[in-house]
Parts: sequence; structure tokens; C-alpha cells
Amino acid sequence: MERQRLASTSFVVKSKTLKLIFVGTLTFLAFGTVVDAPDKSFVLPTVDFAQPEVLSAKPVDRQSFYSERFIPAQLSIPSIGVETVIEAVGIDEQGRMGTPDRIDQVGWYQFGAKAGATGNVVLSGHLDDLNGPAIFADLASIRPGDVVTLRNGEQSANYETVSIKQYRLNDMPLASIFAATQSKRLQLITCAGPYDPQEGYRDRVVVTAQLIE
Amino acid sequence: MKKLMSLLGTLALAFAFILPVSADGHENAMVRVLHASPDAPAVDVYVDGEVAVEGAEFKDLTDYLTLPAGDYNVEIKPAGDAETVVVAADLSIEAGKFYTAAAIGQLENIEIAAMEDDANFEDGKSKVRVAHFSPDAPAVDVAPKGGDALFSNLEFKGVSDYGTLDAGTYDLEIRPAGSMDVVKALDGVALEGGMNYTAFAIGLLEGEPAFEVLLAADGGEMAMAPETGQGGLAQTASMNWLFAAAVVGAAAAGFYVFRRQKQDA
Repeated sequence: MERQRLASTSFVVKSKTLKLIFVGTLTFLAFGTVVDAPDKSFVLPTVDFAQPEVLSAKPVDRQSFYSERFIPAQLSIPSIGVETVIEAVGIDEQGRMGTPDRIDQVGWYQFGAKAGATGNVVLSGHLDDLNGPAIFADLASIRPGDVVTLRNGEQSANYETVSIKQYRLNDMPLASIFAATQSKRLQLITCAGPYDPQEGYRDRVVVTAQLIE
Repeated sequence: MKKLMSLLGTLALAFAFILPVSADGHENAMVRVLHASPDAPAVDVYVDGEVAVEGAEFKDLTDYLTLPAGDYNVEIKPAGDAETVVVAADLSIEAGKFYTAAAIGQLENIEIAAMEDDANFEDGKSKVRVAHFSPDAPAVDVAPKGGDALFSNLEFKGVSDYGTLDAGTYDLEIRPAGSMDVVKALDGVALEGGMNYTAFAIGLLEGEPAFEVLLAADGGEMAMAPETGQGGLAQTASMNWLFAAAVVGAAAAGFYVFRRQKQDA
């Protein structure tokens, strides 16, 4: 994991000092190509689990059940300087999760969970465009424990970062990211790894955060 | 020249939008595991000999695992004990479908029940089914409080079909089949529109762990990974290479000059 993080970090070195660029480049040289996944027909990720909601004779607060979940409109991640607007996105013609029209904004997967709800709240953001960095250029440098906040007007939901993982496109644990779960999670996705003009970026970084209740 | 550049730019854009999709999520099936055996210890779940779930306890429901469609052998072993197989089953899974495999029954009769989960959603409606995984409970009906049964005569190991309800909040009760006695009242069951659910009745009516009902959301709207980059930073990274080469070169030259000066002195 640490190696992968270093590799990602080398892409986002922005310092103007030669030293940093030099170190960043060395890091890239040393670690930039070591994210190869084992050569298997499938990768079996060890999954999270949680206990489903227990139904009881004690009524839930119906008002809060619906009011605590909302369509997220703003995203802020202070630790990596992200403060932006959220667009709703769907699925493109090739079956991929949509991406925001603007590279300085992020996309919320409208077929996933709402903010604060049980399930996966999924956001995609660009790493870069043709010219340079986009909103999630620094996503891979987020750290476990960093707080991610979703807002819409007065409503807000705070999530705590629990993992930062980099996957080959073919090894993505898509079900953990998009399917139903008993956890209340936020998944932030951007591109990573080597870039090929034909194939695009080889990898994706997935940051997973847990709702702070 | 300018014209050529803009043509190249257009081509690059065209490539960006017609990338071949190799990571085809539609070839995969989604499988999750429920530990519903009241007296079984914490377990590890193996799929084709590889550990997939570690330390699941009674009442735990895993996230869906992404697996290529096909046939698998699922083994359940006591947590941390790779040598002992508590129970095993062969599971055949189809592309694009969702499944729940549950370890059910008391340990001495433990077995794996596999069911397909409904991932077709209806706006404004909730599809709900009930799985009876309480080994000592009688056949049951599930009904709105005092009303006619929505699901009737469901026995241990039975999984109902999905019924479609309007989204909303329901007061339900579980009754012995054909009776109006209440085994368990379930008040304020909130069902969201466009979601499907399974209510798992687990535990023991007489004894511990006690009988209870878990509500889990089923399926999901799967997508493949988003295309979140166009290479602008990758070019920056390759520029870094050149820059690094230049820095190394400059440093070497500087060192050489420094040495020369020293020698001259």
C-alpha cells in the first residue's frame, strides 16, 4: 500500500523547488511500476461486513429516518484542499459510472445511496484533463482519519477516511463500491497509475470513508 | 502547423471517448454471505480454497463480493482454523446476478442456503421478501399489524418470493401460520422507494441468541469504473523525467567543473 501511495504521490508533486521534483521523480522511478496485481483469473478481496438493521417493536423515528439522508450538493475535504460542488451522474453508454462535466467538480452516482444513508455513496472526480490537474489530483494523498463532509443547505454528513486503495481497472471490487451494503460508506474514485494514450489510466484510486454517527 | 496540432487534438479527444472497455463488470456475479447459524462460532469463508471472509460472527452479513460468473466451491471454517471444514457447498453463479449464501441451522445440522437477490428496482416501490432462518420457530405468516398476511406459511429454511409494496413505513408482525398471535412485532419498518430488501428471521425462539429479524438492502445498480483522467498529469510526470535527467546532468557537470577547479588550484 505504501508503495502504491508513493507512486501516486509522484504524479501530484507540485512544488516548484527542484529538490522536490527530483525526489518525486526518483520516487516515481523507484516505485512507479510496482503496483502490478498478482496474475490470477480473479482477485478475491477480503470484504467488510456489518450487522443489518435489526427490526424491533421499538419504532424508529420516522422523521429522522428520512431527514438524515439527502442528495449531496457540496463536498469538502480540508486535508487535501478540496471544496467543490457535486453534480448528479448516472451510467454512460459503456456501462461506466458517469463523471462530472466540469473538472473542478465531482459527480455523485445517483443510483447509489444518498448522503448519510445505509449503502455506498459514490463520488467520481477527475485526476486531470488534457492540460493538467483536476479536482481529485491530490485524492491519493488523503490519510486514514481525514474527514470528508457532504452538504446540502443545512444538512451535512461527516465521514472518516478508513482506506485508500489502488486497483487495476480489471481488479476493481465493483460490488463493494456500487452494490448494497449494511455499512454507511462514502467511496471516492479517481484515476491513477500509468497513462496510456490508447487505454487511458491503468488504475483507479478508491478512498473509502465511514459515516461518523 | 497549427492546423495539424488541432487535428491531433481532435484525434486525441476522439480516442478518449472510444476507449475499449476491457473491465467488463457485466461478466461478474455478486455474492454475499450471512452467518445465521445461532450456535456456530465465528467463521472464515473460503471460495475455491481462498479465504474471502474472515471472522464473520452470527448476524454478520458481508458486502457483495465481485466474482466472475461460474461454479465455485464455498467452504465455511471456524475462524483461524484452515484445517476444519464446518460445511461446504457448490455454488453456480450467473453474470450480472446477485446472490446471498447463508449458513443456517444449528451447528450439528448446519447447511448453506443460497438464494438469488432481486436487483431490478421499481421507482417508488419496495420489493421485500422474508427468509425464515430460525431453526426452532414454527411456520409463520408476516402481516401488517392485525391485517391479512403478506407472506404466509413460511417454514424454517423457506425464502419467500419478493412482494411489491409502496415505499413507506410499516408496522408488521410475525405470527404462527394461520394464527393471530404475535410472535414478534416489527414497528416502523421503513422501506425506501427503488430499494429491494430481505428480512432475515434468525436466532432462537427459545434460547440464546434470541429470535430477531434483520432487514438488509439487496442488489445494487452496478457500474464499471468511471473514466476520470485524460493524461494531463501523466505528461507532467514524464516531463519530470526530463527534468530529473537535466538536474542529474547539471549536477554531474557542476561536480565535474568543481573537480576541475580544485585540480587547477
